[in-house]
Amino acid sequence: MKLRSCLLAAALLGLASLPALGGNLPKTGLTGTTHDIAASGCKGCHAPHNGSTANGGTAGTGIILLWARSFPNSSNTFGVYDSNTMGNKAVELGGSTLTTSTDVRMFSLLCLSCHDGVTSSFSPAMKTENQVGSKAAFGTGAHESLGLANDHPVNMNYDPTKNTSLQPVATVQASLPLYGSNNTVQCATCHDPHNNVNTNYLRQPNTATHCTTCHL
Amino acid sequence: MNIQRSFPWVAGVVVLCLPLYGSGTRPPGNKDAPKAAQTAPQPSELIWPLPPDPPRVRWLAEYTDMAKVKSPVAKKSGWLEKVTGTKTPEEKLELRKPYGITTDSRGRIYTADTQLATVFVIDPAARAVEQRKGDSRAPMAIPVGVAVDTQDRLFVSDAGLHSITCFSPTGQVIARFGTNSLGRPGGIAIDQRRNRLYVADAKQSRVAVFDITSLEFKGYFGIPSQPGKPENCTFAGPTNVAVDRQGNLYVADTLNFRVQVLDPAGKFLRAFGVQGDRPGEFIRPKGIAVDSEGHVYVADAEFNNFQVFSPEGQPLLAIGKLGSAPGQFALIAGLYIDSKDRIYTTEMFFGRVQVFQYITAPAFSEGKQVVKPSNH
Repeated sequence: MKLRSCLLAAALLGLASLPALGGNLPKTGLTGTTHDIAASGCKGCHAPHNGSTANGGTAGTGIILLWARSFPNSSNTFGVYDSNTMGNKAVELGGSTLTTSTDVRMFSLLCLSCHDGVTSSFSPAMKTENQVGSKAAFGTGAHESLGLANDHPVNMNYDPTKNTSLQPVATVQASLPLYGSNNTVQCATCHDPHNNVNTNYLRQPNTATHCTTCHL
Repeated sequence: MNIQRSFPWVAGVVVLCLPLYGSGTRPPGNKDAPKAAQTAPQPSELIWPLPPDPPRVRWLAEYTDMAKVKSPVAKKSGWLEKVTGTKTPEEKLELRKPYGITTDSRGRIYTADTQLATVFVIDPAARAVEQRKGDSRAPMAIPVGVAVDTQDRLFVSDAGLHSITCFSPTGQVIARFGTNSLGRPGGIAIDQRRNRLYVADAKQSRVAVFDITSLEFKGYFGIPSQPGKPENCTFAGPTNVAVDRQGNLYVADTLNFRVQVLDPAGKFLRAFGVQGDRPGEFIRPKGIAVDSEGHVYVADAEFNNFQVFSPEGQPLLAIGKLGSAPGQFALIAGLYIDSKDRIYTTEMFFGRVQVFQYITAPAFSEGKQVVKPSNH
């Protein structure tokens, strides 16, 4: 029973990942880009689970928190990395219960952990509720050179019923992924952090076709 | 996804202005504590680690809406409102993307909001909030790091202006400097004894040193790391700095996934931390600070916690995980510890400041049974 559900989950993961990760395979365009952080390849974002002493671990039980020797379920409370990346998988699987850790915004949190305006220069606004049709969250001025608050609708619900000058959801999803049950726009909707072939890590070349993917 | 619906307390939270010197430092398990408070766990009773281990850190307070610092309790509607049926809109001034955080001699909390381009000055005792936006000639663009010297002058690094702005204690812009020597300045720290201001520069991958009297640039500590070769005294995207009581400099060497400690001459002393997802390791080390006993606190924006290390780098405790409740974090960025061992954190996702207290526990000091007078 357990094995079967595991296999089912693995199969679902494989299937569900295909559209979202289309053209998203890491090996092609990462090496040597700015996302190849400290030449560590995948590890910059996909943190390694160090085990052996050779990998910086300590012998036997791994690293122990000296002040919390009897901390209950310390591995559970600490495993935040799982929340971010494993959570993403749950969302891609279409998981219906969106808890904090599997919230669609976790997609973009991973990006924002560097793109905060300090570690890296671009710093999108995230706090506001971004709805199609409400321009309040974004400025009306020209492209911001340092922040992205006025032109990057991160976490916007893509809802053509609220704005009739938008393409249907299915048309967008044919080339760009929308995330979660509300079809939200996350960083990874337009950007593929693994490939810089289109510059700025865009999924599509920055031409008129890219705009008309969403805009009628 | 409606943020406020998912995290209802974010909008509705009542900012607790605890008398920080009093209840916040009360020893745990105080039998005089009111009974009512023991029925349901209150945020102020959050401690780490959990019993039976001796508590080391206690949660004190949080700040999200600056308007609530001034009037923490919602006003009752007056007679005019009752008669006319109208409601005065509640004043709101919410933190958006706070990064740097520090305090001054009067216990006021300074936090730089990178999105609102202002520095909030929170006075918990007087229930007052001021702002430091610069003046019309010198407005702030992306204020990031904040530090206050013993004269209560405020220094603010600005990633957009590539410079440091110095404010008088009353908020006047005194000077702006460093434009020629800074790339993208981040966290800053002051070594008062040596009259120095340290500036982490993520773009140039080194730490700039200024004299806080003459405001002159004195030079850099470190050089950029070669990719994949984190040699001593080389940095990759350092974001935050701290100075301990001996004047040693602690650098969150963010994209090398480690902490480096340099002496006041800029010489390498030690480094700790590797890339990984286990306790004591780092993914995005950012805010950094040192408490009165030399423990090193490092915020990690991917773990969404802060970890406490012994001075040598042995992991001692991890506090927090992803979330919006007290003691949890979403995009934690800045971290600062004041002279009373209060720990201040900022989060860029929900726009929040949280305050914790390091509990000095003489009897449990690493099992050495060191008895020393309490700091409080």
